[in-house]
Amino acid sequence: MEQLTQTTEDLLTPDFLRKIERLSLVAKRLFPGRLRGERRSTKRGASVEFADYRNYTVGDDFRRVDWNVYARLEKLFLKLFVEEEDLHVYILVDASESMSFGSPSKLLHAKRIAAALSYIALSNLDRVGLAALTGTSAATLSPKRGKPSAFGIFEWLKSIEPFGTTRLAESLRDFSLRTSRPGVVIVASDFFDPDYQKGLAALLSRKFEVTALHVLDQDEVEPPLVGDLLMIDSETDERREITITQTLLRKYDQRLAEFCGGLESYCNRYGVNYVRTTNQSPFEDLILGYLRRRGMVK
Amino acid sequence: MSFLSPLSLLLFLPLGGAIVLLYLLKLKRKERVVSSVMLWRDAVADIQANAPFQKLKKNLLLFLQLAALLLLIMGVARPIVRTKGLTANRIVVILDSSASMQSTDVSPSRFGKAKTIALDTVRRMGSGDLMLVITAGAKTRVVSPFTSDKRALSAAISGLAPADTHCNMKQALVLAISLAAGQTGPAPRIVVLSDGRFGALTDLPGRNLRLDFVKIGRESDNVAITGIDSRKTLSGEQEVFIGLRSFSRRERSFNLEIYLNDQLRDLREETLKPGEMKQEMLGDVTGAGGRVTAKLDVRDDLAADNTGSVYLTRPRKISTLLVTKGNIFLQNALNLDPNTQLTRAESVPADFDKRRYDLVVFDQIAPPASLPPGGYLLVNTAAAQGPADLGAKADMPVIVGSDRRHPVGAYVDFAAARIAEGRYLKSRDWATTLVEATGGPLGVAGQKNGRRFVQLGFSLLDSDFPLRVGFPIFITNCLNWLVESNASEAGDSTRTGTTMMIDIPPNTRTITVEDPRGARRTLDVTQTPVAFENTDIAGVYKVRGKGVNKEFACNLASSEESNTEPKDVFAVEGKRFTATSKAVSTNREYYGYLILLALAVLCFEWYAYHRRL
Repeated sequence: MEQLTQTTEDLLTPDFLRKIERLSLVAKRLFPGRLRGERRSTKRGASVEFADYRNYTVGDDFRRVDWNVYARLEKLFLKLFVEEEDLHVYILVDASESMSFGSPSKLLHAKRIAAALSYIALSNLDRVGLAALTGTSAATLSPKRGKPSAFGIFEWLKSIEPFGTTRLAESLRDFSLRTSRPGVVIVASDFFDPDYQKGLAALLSRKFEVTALHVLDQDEVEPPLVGDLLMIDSETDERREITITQTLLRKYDQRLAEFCGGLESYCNRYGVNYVRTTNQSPFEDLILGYLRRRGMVK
Repeated sequence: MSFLSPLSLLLFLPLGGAIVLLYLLKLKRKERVVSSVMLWRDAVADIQANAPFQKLKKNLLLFLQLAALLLLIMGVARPIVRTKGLTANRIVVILDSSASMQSTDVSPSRFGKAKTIALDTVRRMGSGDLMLVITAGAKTRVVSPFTSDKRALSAAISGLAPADTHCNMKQALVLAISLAAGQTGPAPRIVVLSDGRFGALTDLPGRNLRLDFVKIGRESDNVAITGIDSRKTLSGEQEVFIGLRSFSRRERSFNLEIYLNDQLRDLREETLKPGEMKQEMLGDVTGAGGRVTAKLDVRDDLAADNTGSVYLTRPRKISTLLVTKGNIFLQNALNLDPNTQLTRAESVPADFDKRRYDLVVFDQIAPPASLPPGGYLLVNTAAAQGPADLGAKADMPVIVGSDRRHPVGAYVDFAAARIAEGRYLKSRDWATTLVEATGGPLGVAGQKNGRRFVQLGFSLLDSDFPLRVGFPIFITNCLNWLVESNASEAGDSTRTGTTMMIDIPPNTRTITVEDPRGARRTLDVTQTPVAFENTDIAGVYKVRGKGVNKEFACNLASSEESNTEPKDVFAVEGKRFTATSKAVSTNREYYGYLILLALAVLCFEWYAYHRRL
């Protein structure tokens, strides 16, 4: 723990880690796990929680026959119980150049959220996989299990540097194709890609339970710009001559609201969790308050 | 609207072109790296798609700058608007304040209407306009210097009142022109508010005058006392002449009332046809002298000329002392006046100091060193208190001129006289030269400290002057002028607007003069006679002081003023100025407003730039 604290103090403080140890990620659907864990699985197993009945077939364990039913119906039924397995949690962090903006940067904000969610998942014996979305692909960290894995995860998160353009559609498709086990996917990005819907659709098609964590810079919400500017896109190097006027700022606000509204609307339509945050949002409030209220953690 | 300098508008082409050129040049923009231009691109596209005039709006600053430039250049081009009314950037208003402006043919009076027009002009003044107000009576007065203070101008004009004097318009115009010449810029407009009843205007720069003549008045319905005077007959009686004249367009009948010391002496019914003149004479006025006042009992346009007063001298014997070795000419000439009581002596009498003489004639005999107040005729001799000392000897001097305007020199032809010899006179500064010869004065007159002197530098016996026609006139003039100061205790009369010389006894330090309206002025006596100039009101003035109790009368007695028929035209050095109504068209400049507007546009441009409109 001591070592963990030292290496992660840039992302999370020890106090905060203690606070979130008792939390767990909420998965709305059941996913089959690989090892026994604390999550209900689609499999039937040996827990104490009743799941279903099925007809007895030759070779079944007599100990699972429900004799009360046999007494009443004179048929042999086996009593099935819920299997509890581990959950696969994938946290995808957009590492494009646009995420480097803001103070703290959107990327750092996203990394902190990823670290916190990872720690919550690891604390609940869930299996946590990470991916940094850059370009058209996703650099992944194979899923880890158990609290001790947090150290490696945090180190890996810290090593992510913003670079180039991220094409969400292609990088998310790449991730979905390379990931065989379904589970919960949390995408932390500013979603400044007109084709983000295709990427989310690729995840949904693979039966992932998706959460879109929309990270914005406060300066993107309220741009402190004035005068005649030559705007340069940090990712594409696209240049636009713009004269800042009240009308233009009003239009920008309108467009930002439409963009965020469009993303949220898409998410609601396809059962994707949508959480919007800015780099100025208090981090602890976000995890302990806002995400709990939104049902992401409990 | 038109422009005084329209060519200046062409400046807009190069200057406006320069502004547009600056806009066409690539604007140096600040580079700013943003996370993504995606939303900005959409926002800009939205604005361009939603606003059809977006391109124009984009260049709002350009249009504002061009508008400000256009307004400035229009200001430089000096736009003018023809307006009705007496307005100009600088205006000199001359109000005729003479007696004829008191006529009531227009309501409330001509002067009242002139004030109304002047006040209306003040009200129409723009913020930067300047006005100078002058009144033209017998004396010209600057009521207000060039100022744009409307309140001060209105107060000054409202407080004006007309006088019972003639109008010296020439002096007012000269003053207006000289004050206007002290101003920079175009010549101010001179507006004359008058009925045109003033004398000829000559020796004025009429050609360059910017002058509007606003005729005040409609018609003349006036009868007047145009003159009143008294004359002493040879028999010692006095006659009073009263000149009457009608300036009405209809026949007027009225009563002429004649008062002697405020007692009605005569009442005459008069009827005057239009333009008719009449002289009435009141003869055989004897007694103790006093004031004769003539009044017209008539309702006409002008009241100031319906009264006139004249003073009669006290009929008494003139006590005259002739000190001479023998001069028959002088003796006979002095005896011509039946009122003269002549005493002849060959030397200065021993009781000279004790007896008071009205007139003492020293013929070639030196007077005593100290002379009591009185009249003195010094012939070929000089007095220590006299107006001149005897100077160099004059042999056959040639007389080159004489002062016929002086009461003593009136109607006397000194130039015809031949003089064998005499002495040139070295006159003192208070003396007036009566007779001028080639080598210097031979005759002077003067008064000081209650003494009046006439002094000749030659002996009458050494010249043929006593044989000339002018000699008895000269002696009579001497008697009238030298004795007048002694005999005029009753009073004197003059025209309004002129300076009245008031004789007062020595040792009087102050006098108080009460005008016909009861206003009193106290004057310090620095020398005698005292000059009193505030004679603007017709009527009787009372003078009071230590040992002084006299009065004098001021009469309008002016046919020019009493003729209240307004003139339509007056000429200045051949240039004719026709009367206009008050609705005079003038050019009104508006460049100041345009420059203010340009400033406002520039301020808005600054606001638009900083508020990112």
